[in-house]
Amino acid sequence: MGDLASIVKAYDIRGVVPDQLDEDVAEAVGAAFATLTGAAAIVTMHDMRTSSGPLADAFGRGAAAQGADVLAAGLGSTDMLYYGSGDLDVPGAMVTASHNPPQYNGIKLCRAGAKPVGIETGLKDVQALAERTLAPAPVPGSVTRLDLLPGYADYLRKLVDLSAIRPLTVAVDAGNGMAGHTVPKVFQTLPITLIPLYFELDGTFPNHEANPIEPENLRDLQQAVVEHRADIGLAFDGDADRCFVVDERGQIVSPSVLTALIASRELAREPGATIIHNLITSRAVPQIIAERGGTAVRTRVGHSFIKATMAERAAVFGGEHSGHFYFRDFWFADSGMLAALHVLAALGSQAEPLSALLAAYSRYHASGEINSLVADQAKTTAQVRQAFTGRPGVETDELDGLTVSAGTWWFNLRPSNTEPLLRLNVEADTEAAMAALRDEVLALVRKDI
Amino acid sequence: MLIEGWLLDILACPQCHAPLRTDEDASELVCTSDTCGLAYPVHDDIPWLLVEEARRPGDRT
Repeated sequence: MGDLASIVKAYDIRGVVPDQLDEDVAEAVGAAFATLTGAAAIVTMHDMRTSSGPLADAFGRGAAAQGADVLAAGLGSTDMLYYGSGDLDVPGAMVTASHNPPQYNGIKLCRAGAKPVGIETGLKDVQALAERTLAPAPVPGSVTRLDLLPGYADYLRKLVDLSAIRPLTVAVDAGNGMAGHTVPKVFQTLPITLIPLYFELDGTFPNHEANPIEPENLRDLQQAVVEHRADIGLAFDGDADRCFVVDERGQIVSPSVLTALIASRELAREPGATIIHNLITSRAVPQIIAERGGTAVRTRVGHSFIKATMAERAAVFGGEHSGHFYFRDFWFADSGMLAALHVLAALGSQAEPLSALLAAYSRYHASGEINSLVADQAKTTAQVRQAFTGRPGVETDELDGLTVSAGTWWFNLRPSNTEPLLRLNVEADTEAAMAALRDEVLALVRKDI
Repeated sequence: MLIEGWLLDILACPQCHAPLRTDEDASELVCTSDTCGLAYPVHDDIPWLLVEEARRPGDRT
C-alpha cells in the first residue's frame, strides 16, 4: 500500500494514481473513516476522472466492511456531496483531485452535516487508523445506489429566488469537469439560453486545465461570451465547487466583487447579518458590508478557517478571493453553483448589463496573487516589515502572514505551507499606486534572488 | 428485507424528495407521493435510487 503520510494534506488526501493512491489505499481510508466516525451510514460521490469510480467503490468496500451502510451517490460535484452529507445528515467522502492534473486523484472527507475534516480535525486519525489492519465488523454494511442531482438542484433553486428573472444567455465553461453534469439540471427550469463549453465529462482535461483562477483557462469562455453576445460567462473548476464569472464584455470579474454582491443580497434578506471574508479579499468588501448595515469579519485564508468562523459567528455568507463562496443555508459549506445562482438572480432581476451592475462593487485595483520563490520566508517577511514600519499612517497585522495597510492601500505577504514561496497581494485606489507598491514590495522580496 | 428501517427513514425519492416505502413482493422501493410514485428496483440486495432506473406507476416491466 502507498505511503499515506505523503498524501494526507491539510484539507484532503491527494496523490498520484496508482503510485501513491490506489484502490487498496482508498479501501483502507474508507475503513478508517467509518471507524473514526462510527457512523451508521456514509455517502460517497466521485468526479469524472477515470480512476474516481473504482476508488469510490473501494472506499465504500472499506467502509461497509466496518459496518457502515454505504450510500453510493455516483457522479457529482463536491458541493453536491456536501448537500448529500447535509441533507441526509451523514458523513461523506468525495473522490476528486479538484483541478489537479489527470494523473492525480484524492479524497475529501466531511462529517455529518458537511462539517469539514482537516488534518487537525480527523485526517491525522484517519491516516493512523488506515495504517493499521482493522478487524471487520460482524455484520457488513449495505450498499444503496443513490442519485442526489435532482434533490441538489431543487435545494439550490429554493435558496435563490429566480422566479422573475429576465431571459439570459449564459455561457458556461465546465472545463470537462463536473459542472457539465450539474449545470444542465440546475438550469433546466430557468429562462436561460445555455452556451455550453467543454461539458463532456473527461478526466484527461483535453481542452484546458479545470482551474479558472488561472486567467489562461478563462480565455475560451471570454471569447465565447463576446462571440455569442452572452449576458454572462461562468467557469467552474474540476469538481465544480469554485465558480468564476466573466461579464458581458468578456472581462473577468474579481471574486471580491462577487463576494460584495452576494453579501449585499444576503444583507437585503437578513438586515444586520454577519459576513465573513478572508484577508485577501478587497477592502471594498468590508466597506460595502458596513455601509449596508452588516458586520464584516476578517479571517485567514483557507476553508477550515472560514467555515469555523462562520459557524462560530452564525454568519450568513463567506467569500474568498480564490472563488470559494460559503453559505450558512448550505451547511456553511462552499458552493460555486449557489454563488452563480445569486449572480444570475441579481443580473436577471434588473435591466442593466453585468458590468454596470457590478461597477458599484469594484472600488480598488488589485494585483492578483504573485508568488516569489525565497530562501527563508520568515527572514524575507521580517525585512519587508522593517522597511514599512514607522512610515506615517501605516499599520501592520499578522493574522495571516504580514499585512501592511494605510488609508488607500494595503498589501499582504503570506507564506505557502507546502512550498518555499511567499504570496503577495496588493491593492490600492489607483492602478498606478498599486503598481508602484507592488514593485516596491517585490523588489524587497526578490532582492536576494 | 430490502432495506433497514432507519435507512429508509433518512432516504427520500430522488425525483421529488417524498418518503419511500418498501414493496417486498415487487422488490422495489416506492415513492409515497401521489403525483410522483416512482418505483425503484433492488438488484442483488442493492437498492438503485436512480431516476433513470425507476419504473413509473402503472408501468410493469
